[in-house]
Amino acid sequence: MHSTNTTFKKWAIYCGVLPAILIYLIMNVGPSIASFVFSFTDMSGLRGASWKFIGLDNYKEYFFIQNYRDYIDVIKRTLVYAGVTTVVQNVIALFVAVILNSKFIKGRNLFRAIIFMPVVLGVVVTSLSWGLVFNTEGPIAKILAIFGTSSNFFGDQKYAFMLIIFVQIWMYMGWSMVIFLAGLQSIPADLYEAGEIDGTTWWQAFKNITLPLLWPSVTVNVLMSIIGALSSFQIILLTTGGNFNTSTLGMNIYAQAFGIGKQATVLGLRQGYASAMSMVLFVIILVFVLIFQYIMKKREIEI
Amino acid sequence: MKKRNFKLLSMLVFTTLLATSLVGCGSKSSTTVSTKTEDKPVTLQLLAWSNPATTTALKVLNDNFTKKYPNIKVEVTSVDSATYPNLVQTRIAAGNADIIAQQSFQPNPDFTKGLDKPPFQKYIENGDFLDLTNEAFVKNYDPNAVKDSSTFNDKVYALPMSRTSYNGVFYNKTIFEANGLKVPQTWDEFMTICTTLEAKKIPALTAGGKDSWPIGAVAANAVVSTVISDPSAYVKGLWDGSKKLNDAESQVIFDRLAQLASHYEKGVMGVDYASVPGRFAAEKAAMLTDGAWQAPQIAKANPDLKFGYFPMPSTEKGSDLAQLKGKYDTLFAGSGKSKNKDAILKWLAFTSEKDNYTPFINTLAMEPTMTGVTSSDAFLKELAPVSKDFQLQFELVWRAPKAIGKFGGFQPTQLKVLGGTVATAKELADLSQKDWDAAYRAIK
Repeated sequence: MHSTNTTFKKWAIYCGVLPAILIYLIMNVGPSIASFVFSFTDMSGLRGASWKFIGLDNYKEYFFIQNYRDYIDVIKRTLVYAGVTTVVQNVIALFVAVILNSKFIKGRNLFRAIIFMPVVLGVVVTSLSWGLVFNTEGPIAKILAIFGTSSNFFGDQKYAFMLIIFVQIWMYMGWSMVIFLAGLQSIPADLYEAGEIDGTTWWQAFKNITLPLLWPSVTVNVLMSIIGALSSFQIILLTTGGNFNTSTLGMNIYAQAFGIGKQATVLGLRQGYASAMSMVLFVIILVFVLIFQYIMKKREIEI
Repeated sequence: MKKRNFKLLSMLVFTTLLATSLVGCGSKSSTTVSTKTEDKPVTLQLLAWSNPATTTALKVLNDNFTKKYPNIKVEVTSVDSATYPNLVQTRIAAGNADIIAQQSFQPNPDFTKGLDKPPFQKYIENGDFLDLTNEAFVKNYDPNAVKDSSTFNDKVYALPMSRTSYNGVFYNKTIFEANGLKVPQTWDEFMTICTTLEAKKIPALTAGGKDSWPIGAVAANAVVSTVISDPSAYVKGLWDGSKKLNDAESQVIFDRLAQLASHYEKGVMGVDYASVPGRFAAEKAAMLTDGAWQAPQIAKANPDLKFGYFPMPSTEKGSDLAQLKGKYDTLFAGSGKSKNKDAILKWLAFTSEKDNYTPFINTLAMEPTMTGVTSSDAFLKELAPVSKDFQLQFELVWRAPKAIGKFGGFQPTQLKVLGGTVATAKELADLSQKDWDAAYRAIK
């Protein structure tokens, strides 16, 4: 009787996780493999349309039918976007998490909820709201006017990209902060007490106790930020539509797959080509993830 | 023991039920196989890009349609023009589109090479647009309009509702009168007006710079059309190398682009298109480069504003180039794969009746395309002298080699004066030709 119970338990466990595994396979793994397969076709994305395998033509087009000056700009911007948002977002999030974790803050949960709210607002609300704030008729314009300057904000070829990075950081800082907070709260308090007794300064405690024990959270946050930033395009689409030197690789993939503009500045309906571009993006992300995983794993310490 | 087994068993049943119900959740469309047609309630999904006048016109039309056919409702979905292609693609793929607004069908000319098929062609070839060639109501429309805008391979796939011009400039009549200015008949007169206004601290021009296309496409193409009388021949010349973007003829275009760009109000690149009617109506600038479709919005923003529209003038007075040029703007295509084909055809037929079409086109305030219908719009009546022979605007014929760089074509927003990096018109012309050459080499 004991043995049938454990077999049944095992089966029950497998069946219990089966729906989740199925959903993961169908919604994540399946489409990714499909994307890889379609990158070798001329699929348009129309339902019922015939498509055929065209080998490496999509990749050849991506690498050889390009204006290289603009192409390098797009790749540069993609990397800058990922780098800057990852670093700045996580530094600010860590700073805020450390402050919120300290004994001196009352109502920590309230602050945490407020700081996390941008994440919950969603991309559309955030982009449209910041579009109204950074507007020639908006509040920031009035403040700038007091200083005697003005700006075209999202219409400015020099500054639109920076504004988009700002919105991205604003939106996702709460997410990183929450993960850091959780990590901080798992560090035993007696370590800090021991440090106090030994006379360590705040900075020494941070460097030698907090950071090493927090390293798994840092790894998770950095990796998630990099992956998210390298593939993100929604804020760019909703604020500038890729104009004014703000398009990144993710944005161009969207444009090729779905088109932009009613007179079609980018025609779209090229899912096969967009799939090939997204394979290139995948390789870029993979390279970054592998590098960072290697760097970060080396420094992890377990308690 | 028993309790535990029961718990495990019920957990198993629950997760299975959950999984199957989630699978069922996926598909929204019910597969009713009923053959009863007349009384089944139907909701037609109509997709259009957002234009306030179109929304109003459609509401009246659809309300009257439902009065005639009480079992058919029409639900309109509008998004901004940048997102519109995405809406069309996803809705057609989901089988959730019945009537789809389109722009005029312009296939790629034969002299081009290596270009992707335009979306409308892909939809037609995939059977996503209904073939309307043999429908009676198509004959209500001006046959030239149908031929030039809604036909592909000699078959009709849409109904052209309206025509609009967009190589012109709105001007504030009150400001002009107060400063003794008249509608310019030549380009030089146009520039003189700009400098005169600026000397009196009145901003000369405004536009929706932030959306990129109001200046980059509408205004730029308006300038091109003051120089190029035969767009097809010009673009063909670029493709076969007999014309260049930095030859003498083209340099005139770039020089005029630079001049026009220098007269826009400060901060024009930050103005978003939706706020343009309000700004012009509030007299933030004396003139506005935009399409004539904007007229009803301006009138609504300030009913007391006295304004007019003139085509961008050319080198000589009374030149043929200074006529209004435009495109067939709003076309309605039917979904070729919808289950509601009967209802779609009913709607198209209803819209094509003179009594329903006339109020529609008057609310839209664009030129009618139906035989025997003339617009009652005062603004359009005023434009009659300069819209004698309708010509297609340059933009519809323009094709550049695939993946051309950002300077390729006519890109005034790359000029320093509009926030870009290029100092002079000559440099911009050279960069433009350079990008063209690079893209052309890649496809050879």
